[in-house]
Amino acid sequence: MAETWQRQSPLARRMPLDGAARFAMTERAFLAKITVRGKVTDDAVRDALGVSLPGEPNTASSGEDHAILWLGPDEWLVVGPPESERKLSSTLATALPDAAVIDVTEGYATIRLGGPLARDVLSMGTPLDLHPRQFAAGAATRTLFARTTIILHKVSEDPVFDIHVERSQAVYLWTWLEAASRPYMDLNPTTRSV
Amino acid sequence: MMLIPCPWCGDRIDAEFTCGGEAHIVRPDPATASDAEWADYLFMRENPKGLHHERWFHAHGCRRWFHMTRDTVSHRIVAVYAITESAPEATG
Amino acid sequence: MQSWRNSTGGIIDRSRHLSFTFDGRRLSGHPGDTLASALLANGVHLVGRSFKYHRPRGIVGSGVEEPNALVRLGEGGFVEPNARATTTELFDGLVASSQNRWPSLAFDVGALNSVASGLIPAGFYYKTFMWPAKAWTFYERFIRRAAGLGQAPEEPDPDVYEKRFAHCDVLVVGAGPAGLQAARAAGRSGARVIVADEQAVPGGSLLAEHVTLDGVAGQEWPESVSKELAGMSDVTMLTRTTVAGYYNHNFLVAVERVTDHLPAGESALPRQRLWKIRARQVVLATGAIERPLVFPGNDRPGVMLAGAVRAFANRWGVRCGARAVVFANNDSAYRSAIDAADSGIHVTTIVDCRAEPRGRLVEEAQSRGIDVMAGRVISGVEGRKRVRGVAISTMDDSASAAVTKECDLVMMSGGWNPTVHLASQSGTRLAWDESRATFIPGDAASCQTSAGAAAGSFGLAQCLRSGALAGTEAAAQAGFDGETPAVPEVDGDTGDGALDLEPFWHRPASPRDGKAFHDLQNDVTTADVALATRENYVSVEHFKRYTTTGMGTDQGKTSNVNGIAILADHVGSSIPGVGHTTFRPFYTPVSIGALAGIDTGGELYDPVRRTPMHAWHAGNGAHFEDVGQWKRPYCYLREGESVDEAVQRETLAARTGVGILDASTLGKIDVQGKDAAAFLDRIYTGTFSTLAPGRCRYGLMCHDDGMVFDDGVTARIADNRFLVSTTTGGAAAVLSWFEEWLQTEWWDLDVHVTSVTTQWAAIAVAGPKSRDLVSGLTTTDLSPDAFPFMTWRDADIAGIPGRIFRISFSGETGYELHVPASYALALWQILMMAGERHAITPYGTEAMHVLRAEKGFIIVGQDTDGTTTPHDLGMSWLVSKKKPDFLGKRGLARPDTLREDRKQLVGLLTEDPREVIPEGAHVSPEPGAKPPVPMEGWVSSSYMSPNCGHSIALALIRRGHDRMGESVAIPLEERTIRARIVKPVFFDEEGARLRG
Repeated sequence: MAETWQRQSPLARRMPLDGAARFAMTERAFLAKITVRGKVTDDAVRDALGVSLPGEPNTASSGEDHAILWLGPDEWLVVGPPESERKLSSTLATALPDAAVIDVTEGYATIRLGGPLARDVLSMGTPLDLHPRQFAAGAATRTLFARTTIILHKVSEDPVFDIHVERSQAVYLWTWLEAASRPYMDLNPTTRSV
Repeated sequence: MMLIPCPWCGDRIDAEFTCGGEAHIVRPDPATASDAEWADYLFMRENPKGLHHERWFHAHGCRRWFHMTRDTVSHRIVAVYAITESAPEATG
Repeated sequence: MQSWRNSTGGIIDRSRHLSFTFDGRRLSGHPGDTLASALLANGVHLVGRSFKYHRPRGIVGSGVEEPNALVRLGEGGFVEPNARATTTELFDGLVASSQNRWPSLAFDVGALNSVASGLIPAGFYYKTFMWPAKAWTFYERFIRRAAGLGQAPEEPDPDVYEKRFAHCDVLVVGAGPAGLQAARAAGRSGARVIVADEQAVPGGSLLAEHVTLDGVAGQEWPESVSKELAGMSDVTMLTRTTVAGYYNHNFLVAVERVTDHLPAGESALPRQRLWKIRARQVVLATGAIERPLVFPGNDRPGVMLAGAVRAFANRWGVRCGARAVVFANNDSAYRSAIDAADSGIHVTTIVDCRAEPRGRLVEEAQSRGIDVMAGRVISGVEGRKRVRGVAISTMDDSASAAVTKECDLVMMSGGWNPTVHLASQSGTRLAWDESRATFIPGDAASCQTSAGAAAGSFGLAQCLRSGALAGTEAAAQAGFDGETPAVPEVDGDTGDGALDLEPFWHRPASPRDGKAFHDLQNDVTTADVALATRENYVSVEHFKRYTTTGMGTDQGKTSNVNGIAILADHVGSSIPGVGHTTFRPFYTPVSIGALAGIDTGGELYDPVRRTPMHAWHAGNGAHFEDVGQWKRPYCYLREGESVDEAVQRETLAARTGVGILDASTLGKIDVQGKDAAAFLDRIYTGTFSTLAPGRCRYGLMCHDDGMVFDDGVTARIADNRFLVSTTTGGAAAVLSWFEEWLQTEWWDLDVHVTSVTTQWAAIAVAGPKSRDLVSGLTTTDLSPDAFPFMTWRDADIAGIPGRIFRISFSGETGYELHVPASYALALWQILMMAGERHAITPYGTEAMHVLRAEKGFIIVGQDTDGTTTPHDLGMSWLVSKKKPDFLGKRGLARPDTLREDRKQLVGLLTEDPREVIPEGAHVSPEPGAKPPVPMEGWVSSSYMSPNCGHSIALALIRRGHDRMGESVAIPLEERTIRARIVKPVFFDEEGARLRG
């Protein structure tokens, strides 16, 4: 196995935005991300990961170490701790013989957003309705953001959001979010969530 | 700016979708199709004013294809049904 | 000195003074003022010159309907042309100037157009196009200089703009009495509500009324309602926000002017915010706009809408003149006259075209000493830069019977038009209402209702009731039931809104009467309507365009109905018979900045995709090119080197030593499932089921018409698993193509496709030294026997778990190294270090292009154009004859694809080996052939090849495969290049290097 120093995450050169009181943004580097496609049973997944499959479209289920995001009727994204992708894919491949298990850890970057303005900043880019009645904690979906596609996962009602974005577009998304939030970082924000 | 009811994801903005054009075009058997039949399959499409059965793809969502019956004048969406289903009769 | 400002009254803060300039003149106003109210308070009426005739123009309205008072705001990059003075909030330091005049507003050279107006009638432009043929080229210089309204800023816009999506159950457009009631009703039900109003404070018409609601002053009541709304967590009040467009499925666009009312640079917030709102239900409480009357001289400064004069008096404490004459055809003008009189304007006369005006308002006016002249019209206006008096005559014209009245203000009212723009945009048909002589919304086309004056209810009590009901109903439709709020008790309202209107559209005028304008902004007169009719432009859509009625920035808010009515009169039809033109977005102009938001400039205009090695490239002289959204090094420039020189150096190095290329952008698709091989057999023209795991095969994909649309090498990873590579630009399309067939036609196949384009970074290592280089970094045996051409192996590469592919796009001995993306930069650097002893050369996309062209390898999209078959490319060997079906098979058997004279891929060698043919150049058969020279084909790729020592080109030429050795000509603008058709391979034809 190669040395960890050799790895560079997609947003390694970006400083986290630490405006916890308003808007915070940081990269979650090297999270394991596995795409699962095909025939999957809840029992098999629960046995393997201790987490149930999300019951509804556009939701995610979460356990201690893993989150499973529903992305389509035969597509899930399994997210696990950093550096666990090899073990996680082989666990899943063994547990789910009728499914395609594809390691996409390196194909996506993950950005975590938080703070009271997170929803406002997101609403500048996504046509999705982010009102807590419509997009509660545990909601997850692929959608549009500005001129790219993202996987948006609302982790908690604080709110905390995780965005998974195709690796090569991570810098674009980061730069966009930074620019969108800039007017609100240095002053008492007057903004509205609609 | 249409709001399209994806059978899996619910109402989503049309920008998340791509339209696959006229639905229910049958690919003829290539072994027996005449040149005219094959050309018809490849190139000829209806362009009705009014109800139209279409194929749509939720490209930036669940990435599922589905059928949708839409009024091409008012953009009223009359029916959404599975890609494996034939057109609902009432919407002829 | 604000000598026209009353000492009391209105909702302005007299304790504070705001300083501003107009045409350089320093003036002052108060918080609460608009630029228009402040100008009028200073006695400034003349604010601009008209569009076509450059006539002096003054302020006509008090709000968004204003056709005349368009000014230029700000300086430098902050300039905004064509701002309505009536909706521009005053702030300290505001700089405004008049438009359409030179050298000054008072003396304008362009006013000569007015003298020569007979020469620029309706349809003037069209006529210059039509006849005589040469005339347009003569006129064009002058027209271009004179055309347009205002001047665009010349500097980049330094402001920041923002766009936002929003969602609600009920969107209420307009926060006047009806809108506030609707919002209150919907808000109390628990629905998610957005209320948008274009003014700085809610209230709408109430801000200009002297009434009480439940004992609260009408000007204060809106504040109490908005306090209640502010207490509801799911209600959002957007002030300074104009809903400008109404699109499909209740998608509306609104522009919020966040900091326009502040001096430049005072706030870090965006200047404007574009709201993209999806509403379940929409309540349109957009109010009504007063209609001007059309009479000769009705454009002179000092001729104003009666309701505007009233608003300036009641809301801003400003007298618009000293001595006024009112011209009306309905009762509402009397209320305006009374309030104007009460504010200190001497209203001498009401000229009423109705034969017998009567009722409480008439009596009240008369009790103030106002002379009511019934059955009379204004037949002329004296004064040029300001009204000095009016001529009043009977309806049936007799100039001799005219009397003149001295005045400096004319208040006109021709009735009211509900603001139906948004309703009409939504597809709702408009119906002509005879009693109110106006268009009102018919049955709503979407989940929407109109309320209050927008629906034709002009009385205040009616507005309040109609709004409450509309809000309750809209919330209920969205799934939120609530009680309808009580309608406040109105005191001081002057009736039920019945106007008792008698239409007066125009009086047939004789030329000596002077111009009567129905469209002030575009300078369109009744004479233009007559001309359009004479020239048979009688359809309302033709009429609109021929006369330009309603085509200004005001979208005809004050002109459309008058124009239609006059047209109806000329063509002997009725107004509903003529119909109305279609209202289109935007309701008021929207700045380009707001539409762009932050999606501007290099980084944010469109995603820029970068590979994991990008930083290395950038730090080592890379000259980048855009390939789709990707940035790829075109070449790496060394000190003092030109781009061409770098490309030649890199191309040579890859065949003499070792070169490395960042190939990470190539599309990669993981194809899995027990039917994966069968699936690829249907997708590709070739056969993949026979490929053994560990091996690779090149394939072409066709659409079902037989035309090539992508190509690439596919590796069999395992029995049920393949890795398909695609072109850089085709990656997303190929993935969607796969999904489409799997889901819509072949749902019996057990196959799943997943993009792994960015999971794996790819580095191509090419050249005679490549084996030596790579073998030093891996324990995998790279000898030709152990690891032959077109195979792949899992491998440890410099300690990184990856894959090595023995494939080549350069025609050299070469390897493609795939590693997880996060290790790619490290591996690249390791290769650069390890390759030092071989003088390793990183090469860019252009060297890659030259290398592959030397070998005659195609690039889909460059050497194909969507009408190119595998046979045309000379690649019939890739098309299976055994498979019963694959995508494109039947298409390749169509008569057209079997034609013998199709364009086919060939090579070209120029007579002069140093001559490089421009790509895209046409190929013709005979040098010196007479025009029209037949087009035999075109050059698709062309380079100087350092490895061949001469230029090389690929071309698609008619019947090319049968024309080897033939000479062709490539005619260019300045010269003709002669070339010979050859096989499309210029280097190592046997492929010894590839396999070696």
